[in-house]
Amino acid sequence: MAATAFFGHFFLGIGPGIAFFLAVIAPKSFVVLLSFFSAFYWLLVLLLTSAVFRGFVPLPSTQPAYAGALLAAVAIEEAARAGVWQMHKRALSVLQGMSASSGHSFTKLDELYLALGWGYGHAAVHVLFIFGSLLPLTAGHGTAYSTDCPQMSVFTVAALNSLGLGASLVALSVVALEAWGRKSWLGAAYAPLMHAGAALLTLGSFRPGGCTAAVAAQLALGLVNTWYAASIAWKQGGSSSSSTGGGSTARHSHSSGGSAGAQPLGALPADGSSGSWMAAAAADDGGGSSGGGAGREASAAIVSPRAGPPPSLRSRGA
Amino acid sequence: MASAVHSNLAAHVLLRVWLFGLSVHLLATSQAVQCKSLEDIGLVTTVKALSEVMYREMKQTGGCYKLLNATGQVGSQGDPDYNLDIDAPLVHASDLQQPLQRDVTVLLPVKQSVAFMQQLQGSPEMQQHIMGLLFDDTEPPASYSTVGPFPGGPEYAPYNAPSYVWNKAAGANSYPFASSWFPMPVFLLTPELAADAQQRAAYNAKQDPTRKQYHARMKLAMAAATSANSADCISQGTCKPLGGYSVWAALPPLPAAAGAAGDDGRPIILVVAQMDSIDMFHDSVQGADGPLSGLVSMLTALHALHSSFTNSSSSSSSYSKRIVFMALAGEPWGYMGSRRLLWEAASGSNSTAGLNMSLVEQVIEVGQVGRLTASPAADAPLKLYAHSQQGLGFGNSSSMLAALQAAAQGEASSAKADVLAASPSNPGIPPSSLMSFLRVKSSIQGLVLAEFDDGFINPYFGSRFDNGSTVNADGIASVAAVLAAAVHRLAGGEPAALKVNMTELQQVAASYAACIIMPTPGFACPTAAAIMAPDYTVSTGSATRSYAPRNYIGVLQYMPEVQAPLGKSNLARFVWNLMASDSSDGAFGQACDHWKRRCQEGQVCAGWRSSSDEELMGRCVNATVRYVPSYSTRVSCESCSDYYTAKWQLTDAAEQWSQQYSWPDDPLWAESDWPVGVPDLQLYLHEAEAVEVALLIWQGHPTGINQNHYNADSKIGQHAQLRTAPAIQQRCCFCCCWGDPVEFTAAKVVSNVKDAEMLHRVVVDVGDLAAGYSKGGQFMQIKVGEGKPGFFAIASPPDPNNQGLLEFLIKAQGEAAQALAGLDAGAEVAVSPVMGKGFSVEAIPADAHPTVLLFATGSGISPIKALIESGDLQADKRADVRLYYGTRDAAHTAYADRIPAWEAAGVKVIQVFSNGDGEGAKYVQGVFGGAKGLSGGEGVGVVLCGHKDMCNAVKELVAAEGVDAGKVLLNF
Repeated sequence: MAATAFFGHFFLGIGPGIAFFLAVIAPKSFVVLLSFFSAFYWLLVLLLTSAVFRGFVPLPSTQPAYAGALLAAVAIEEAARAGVWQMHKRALSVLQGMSASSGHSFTKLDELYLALGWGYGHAAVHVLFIFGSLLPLTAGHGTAYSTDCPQMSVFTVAALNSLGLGASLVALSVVALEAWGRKSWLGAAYAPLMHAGAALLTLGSFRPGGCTAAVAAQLALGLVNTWYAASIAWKQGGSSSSSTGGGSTARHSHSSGGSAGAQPLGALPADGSSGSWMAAAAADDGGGSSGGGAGREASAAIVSPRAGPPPSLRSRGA
Repeated sequence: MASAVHSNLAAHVLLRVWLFGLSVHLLATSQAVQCKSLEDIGLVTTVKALSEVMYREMKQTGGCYKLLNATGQVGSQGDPDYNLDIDAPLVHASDLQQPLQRDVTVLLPVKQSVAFMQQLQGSPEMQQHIMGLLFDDTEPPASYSTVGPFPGGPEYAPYNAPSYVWNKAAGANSYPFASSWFPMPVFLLTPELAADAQQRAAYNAKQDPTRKQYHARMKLAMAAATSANSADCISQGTCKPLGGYSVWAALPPLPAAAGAAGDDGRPIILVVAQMDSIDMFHDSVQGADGPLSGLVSMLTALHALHSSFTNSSSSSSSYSKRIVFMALAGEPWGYMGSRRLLWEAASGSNSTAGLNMSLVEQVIEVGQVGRLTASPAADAPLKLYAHSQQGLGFGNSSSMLAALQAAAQGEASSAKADVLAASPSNPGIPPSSLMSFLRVKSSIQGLVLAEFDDGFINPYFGSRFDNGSTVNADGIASVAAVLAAAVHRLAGGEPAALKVNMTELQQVAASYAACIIMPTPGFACPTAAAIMAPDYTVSTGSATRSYAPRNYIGVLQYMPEVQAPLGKSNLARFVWNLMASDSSDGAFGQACDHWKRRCQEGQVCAGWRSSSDEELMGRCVNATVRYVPSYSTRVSCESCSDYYTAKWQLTDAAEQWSQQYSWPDDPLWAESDWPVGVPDLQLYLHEAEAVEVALLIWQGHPTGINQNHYNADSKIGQHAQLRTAPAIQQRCCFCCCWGDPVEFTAAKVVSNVKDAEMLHRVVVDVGDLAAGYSKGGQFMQIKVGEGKPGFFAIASPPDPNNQGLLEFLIKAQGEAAQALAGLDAGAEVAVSPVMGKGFSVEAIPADAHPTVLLFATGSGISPIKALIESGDLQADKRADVRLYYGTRDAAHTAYADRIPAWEAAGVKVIQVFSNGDGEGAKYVQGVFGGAKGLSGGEGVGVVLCGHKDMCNAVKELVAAEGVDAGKVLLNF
């Protein structure tokens, strides 16, 4: 049954993340690369966090001690998010300039995609740390339960926590970067608060039987954050151009929110005529047969060695 | 190059930082919180720590290993395949519910072990379901012994009293564990693991067995798993003979001029002690009182003589007789040490050169003397008993007794010991090495000195509980003083010349006991450190060295130069070096070793250790001290000086000599080899299968677990037709949940008649479903109400008229079977379609297979009956069709009324009852194995149904006859 347990936990804790990656991120090569870079960045941040904590371990096995450690870790990560914002802002500026020079628009949806990539890397590293490191143990014959949580093994708890926390971190990246772009400080405060809340939720395991509620709350929080991020994308993804980062939008190939706005997080418009820079790139590879004039123009621009964006920005399409 | 080094270093540092970061982050984030409540077993802060919490392991120790002798095997073994561990839930022996319905590993407190073993012996069901035994020694019983009432065996005694009880610990509440074979792997838990296992078993007892349970996972693969006896495994190279080295020293030393050829003709007084003990768990053998107290006493006596000579002008050279101190190894194993030594002496071996048996006049053996205490008052003298063999032909030892008593009253009076003649009502000498010497030379005057009169007073003789906690070193010193003074007198020494310093002897005895009896310091003691470099063990997962003495003889892997210290145990080297030092004249000569810087003739290199530093090398002393290999006289070793080329083989070189002295058959003890990684025991929490499968199914990801997998499991249930073990039932539940469900159809019980004890013949009207029944051996699932279904083989033959009635033989054991057996006619049940392929008798057509052997045990007769009565077997067209039908007794025999009809159909029925007393207890495999009546495997078919062990045993037996495995038919 070792294989059963391993794959059960694997699919539970990591499966949704992989599915999300394959369905949403993988079609956009730039977001894939950004996710990898983000993961590396957050890996360094977590190692830095670990180094800071080196002077404090072992912690007393009390709720306040762990709450303090969790909040400190969240604080460091949220501070690091400022670095993400700086890199994100610079990337937007460069990409908007490139898009403009190549005759494409850089839409709000594209911007959210980049935020998604940052968040995915953040979540992936967290999942690796809090669950991936335990996953090999599930391939053995045994399991482990804490005495205060007879309902679920520590592996199931870790899988569900990583699932919920991972969803939250992906969503919070979208929320935070979008809010910072709008200079909405209320919105910007949402991410650290939710992040701290998600971290503190795990303290529920200190209470006998509390893990059930804590894990359920963690998953619920993940859903709430995902819904919130999705609603942002829904509302703002339809914007025809980016308003963030100060980059000028020289030309909009398609000004209508239309179908692209109705399909947040990357679905191609049915007619292949999205004004989106990413959608245009995707149309080049996978939707080139579509008919819209602007679409053809975009395709021609991107495939042109003279006018197109660097190859690294091209999507592999469908 | 330098850049590569730096690059590697950087990568290494980065990796370490990452791993450290990982562990700290685990602590700092939610993972540490998750593990908080494991704090009762320590706060888990790393993945490795979590793994250690999950799996409590015992490695490289604690197994009850397989030993073989000339006639069989003792001990235990795990699955012969190293890669297949034995795994079963942990259940405390007190929580075992009879009848057993599932496979379990039993946690067995040693106090319950005797009763448990007696129960296990008589219960094939327990043997089938108990997958492992974990002994818990936390609370030792008041008395315990792993050997019988006449240790060593009465056949070695110079008298005929086989029922005499020398070992009183082997009474009614005893079991000869050390000579028993366990049909499952057996381990001895460490105290820490035993405490842990108790908690886990207590947890399991409170849980539903289908939920998560603590399991024990055992690895005890033995290389000689398939060998029936030691001759087989030695021939196959899968075992090594038990063996070690005895040591003897002469006082005074043999003259150098005599060399290997002989001696100066002085009569010899042998002072003998034994070196090792016995227990079923070889890693835990102690033997403090029996026999090590005697060894300590003998070595202390030698020291007393040496000390006296050193402090006076006298020397041992003035003795008219030569005293030979002798420590014998391997005596618990058929007196292997003394037998081998006497054979070596008879055959003129170098190791016994100078030990001329014709010169041996007297033998004093120091037996168990560690529990001597003054009673009834603290100042009362110790009572030491001298046992001698009375009767014609045996030497008169009265002069020896007189010498001992005179010594005790004279120069050794400070020992405060009385030497008493043992009771004349004793049949003779107690089990001792003296028996071997009397066998070869009955005229020897012999005595055994012991703390007991008519039987052992040691309640733990021959067990791991015979430890140093109850040994009285002062008493041992007193015996040593008396012994030294007595042999001094017997050797012709002037009594007044011997000065006995009891205080010194008590210190010496205590220091020797600390080295060879006590686990701590063991051979890390100062005495050993001064004369040798002891070997040590390092326990797995710990850097701590252990010098604890291991008083199980072990095996002889090879035999490097016999008189060199290489390949000798700590104890053998300790004894050798002490004897070398204390039997010498005290003059230490040049630095030496045993190879290049050898000592001159008549000297030995005492105190040698491996070092190029002269200060640490040995010194030549004038002494005669020798190692004598101790192993069976039935084996010899080729190219034995090298570990890798050594090859053991059987020999009959000593056969004639053995017959000359009417030795009992040499038992030829050998120990199986085992692979690296064995033994290994894990205790861990096993997740409920339902949870694991549910976890996977919820994800909606198909895996390798599919309907076929569970169908395969269901076939196991088919074989165990009446087993309703929860594991099987649980799998059935998954069948219903995963893959095609089993469709149950309502059916009615037509009749229910008790046919034998616990066995009911139940006829069920299954309607049209009976059409699916075409071949004997097929089965159905039946459930009563909403209960779990059970698998039941069909006992009635296929009905060509298809009236829809099927008969089942129900053993009222297990949930489904008990419910079914309790139903009256007219009751409703639910039945599955007919399942299974039945017995494929077409594989053994009558024209090509004149012989068919049918084997059935208990309710396993059910499908066999169907096969016979179906006519498919065509018994009347075959020359030899035999049914071996095993049951507990006549009252438990189902279908007894059908036997005449089967006989009439051409099947010879051989009934075997397992519930007979003593030799009356038989098993079908034993009866068949005793008289197979086959002339090869050609044309033989076999049909099996019943107990797993029976099936396995029969398969082996018929395979040995050459029966093709494809001709052995099972109904699953």
